Amino acid sequence: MVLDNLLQTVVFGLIEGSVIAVGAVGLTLSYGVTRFINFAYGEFLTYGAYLTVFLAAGLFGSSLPLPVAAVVAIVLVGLLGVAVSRVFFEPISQRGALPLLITSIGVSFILRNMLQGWVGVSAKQLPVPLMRRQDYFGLVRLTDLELGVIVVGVVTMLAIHLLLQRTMLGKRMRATSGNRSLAEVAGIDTTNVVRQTWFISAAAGALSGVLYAVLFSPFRPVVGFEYLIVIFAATLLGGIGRPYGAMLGALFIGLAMNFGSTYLSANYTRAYAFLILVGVLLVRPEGIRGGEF
Amino acid sequence: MSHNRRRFLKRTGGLAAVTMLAGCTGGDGDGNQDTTDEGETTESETTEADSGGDDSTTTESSGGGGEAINIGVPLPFSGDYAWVGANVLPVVNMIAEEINGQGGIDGRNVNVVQADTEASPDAAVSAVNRLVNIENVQGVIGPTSITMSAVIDTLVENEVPVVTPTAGTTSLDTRGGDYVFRTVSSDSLGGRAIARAARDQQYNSIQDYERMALMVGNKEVFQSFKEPVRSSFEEFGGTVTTAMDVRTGKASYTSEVQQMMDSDPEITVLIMSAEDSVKITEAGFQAGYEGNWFATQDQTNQDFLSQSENQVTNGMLGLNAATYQAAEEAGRLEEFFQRITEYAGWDEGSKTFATNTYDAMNVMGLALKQVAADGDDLIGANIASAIPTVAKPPEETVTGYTQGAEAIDGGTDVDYEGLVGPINFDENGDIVAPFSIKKAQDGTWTEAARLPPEAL
Repeated sequence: MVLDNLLQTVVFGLIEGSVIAVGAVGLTLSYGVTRFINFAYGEFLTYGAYLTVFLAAGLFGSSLPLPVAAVVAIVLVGLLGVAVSRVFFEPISQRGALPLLITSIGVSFILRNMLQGWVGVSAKQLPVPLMRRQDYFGLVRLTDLELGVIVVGVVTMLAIHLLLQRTMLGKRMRATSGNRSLAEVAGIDTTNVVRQTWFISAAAGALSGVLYAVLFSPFRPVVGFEYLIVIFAATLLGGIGRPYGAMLGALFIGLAMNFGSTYLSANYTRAYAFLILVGVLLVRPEGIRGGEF
Repeated sequence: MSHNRRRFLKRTGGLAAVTMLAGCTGGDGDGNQDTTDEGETTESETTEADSGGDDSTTTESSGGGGEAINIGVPLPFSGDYAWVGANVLPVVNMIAEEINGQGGIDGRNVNVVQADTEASPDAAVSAVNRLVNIENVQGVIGPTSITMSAVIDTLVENEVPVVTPTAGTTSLDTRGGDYVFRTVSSDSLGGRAIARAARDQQYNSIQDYERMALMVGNKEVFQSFKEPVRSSFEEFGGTVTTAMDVRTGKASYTSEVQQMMDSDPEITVLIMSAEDSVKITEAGFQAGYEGNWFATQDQTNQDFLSQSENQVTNGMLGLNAATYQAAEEAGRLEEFFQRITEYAGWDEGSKTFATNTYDAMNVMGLALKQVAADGDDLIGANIASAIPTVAKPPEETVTGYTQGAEAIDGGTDVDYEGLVGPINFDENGDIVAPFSIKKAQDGTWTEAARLPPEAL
């Protein structure tokens, strides 16, 4: 019983950790090359979830099967990310981190309120089937969807790893992240790299939003903005700008939130993420994982 | 180093300023509401100006007149509970127009002033302060349970009579009767009804439940139900396995549901918002919970069922205010539904709190009329003491403002009989009304049993 509970809590932590990891990696990638914290990132989660709902419900003509709707939504949000960066961030990219950060807060308000104006504040749900949890090895219980979320999380991590290590784009991203002027001198079109990173970052955010919506329905237009703090906690814990750190941080935060809920008090789920965030900033601002990108 | 530190401080200062700015923008929602409020004030001023015009017309005909009588409606008009204001205000306006169409109160028109409480105690305090100190309201229809405790002192100290159609909170159980009345059952009665209906098969059509768990949102509006359900269920011979306070608005309730299931109940009473209840019942389904659920008025509506899946809600029990048979048989209920759907452009008349509001505003109007007919000043103390009088038997039974006003003009005392019940206020300003126990089946609520006040 005690062991069952413990294992089950670990599994719940891994499930939520997967959602956070996808979001945290996206955020940290964009920080890596742009060097500012994007407060509008939460809106990419929200847009991912809402666009999937609408595409699946046939808002734009024909209704798509859910996985297709999710993929289309993720691509659209990726493009939205590029558009947002071109309109709002590129023109002021030379003015340092603070103006960019403030702008991102403004962009976050614009995106959120646009969505609210469009769809209203009422709660929405993804059309996913409701399932009972099944026993796995007689130890843990989880639904096929929860298992799916973990799988998608792991695959995404793997894909990001391959992207960074094995592709030319990944190498350019790492170079730009390490030293932008040097990368430029070496002949890398850093503006292009930044745009491509924006696409990947926003798309990862959207994917994270879709995974969130699969697990936690119904949701409202503030969902991404509110979840941003959890993603921040994971990102900072891993050392901002470091994708592998963000993955580790996300797992840690997911586990902490679920262990706190089960063994301390369920009323403070996100407060555990806050606590870790504050602790990291006080004790080890560079995060648990040192080193570069 | 110190230079760096200064720069750091400068930046953090900047950040703080940004956050504050963000706060302001965040408050822009409020800002908007302020604007709306101002808009409303302007509107009410215009209405006052209009009614001033009306007054002069009235002055010509009746020789009386004066400034309008303001009736405040402090309710949530924005946010998650905006539906409450949206359901109540049209009914108030409709009766106000009826009163004015009858020549107003002693030649003075009734003017409705809305104030947005945003379902938040802070906003409610400033909304009610505005109503009391700036709009000088003579009476109030509202507020909800969520904000009642925050504003009741202001209202009572300023001798503003209140007839609320929306506040079932148990905190009013012993505080009403002088200035505060309500045309909605107290949660103590509602809680007792849940306990009774769960305990007795004849009221739920399923079984005599013995083991009950409670999951109660950590807000006053929900907490108000907790004690009545728990103590009544134990009084009726049941066992409460756990009474959990649950944080509202969370993304997931997996841990809470697990804790509930560990206590092994046969039925779980959900005293939460509809949205959180969807999450909890679905979490229960995923975790293989086999007991039943019992919902309060907040979830016993079509909206809740359409957000949930039938396999989760089938067999679920819910509490609702029952229709008052006398009003139904006399066709008054249907008549009201038709009138309000036409007036407000609603698709259905039976919206939550609509009938309660009809009764509240009629009682308020008749009390004003009675005070004017007695030749007394239209001040709070007089109006408040007239409120229970116009609804007390055995005087002439009336069922609407126009009918009552004519009787009062004819020198007869009246007993208002409403749509939700006979509306006889007890010493605490409360009414009794029957309850209906609903059962969800295939996405609709059907009545499982009716619970008369005597059964409680």
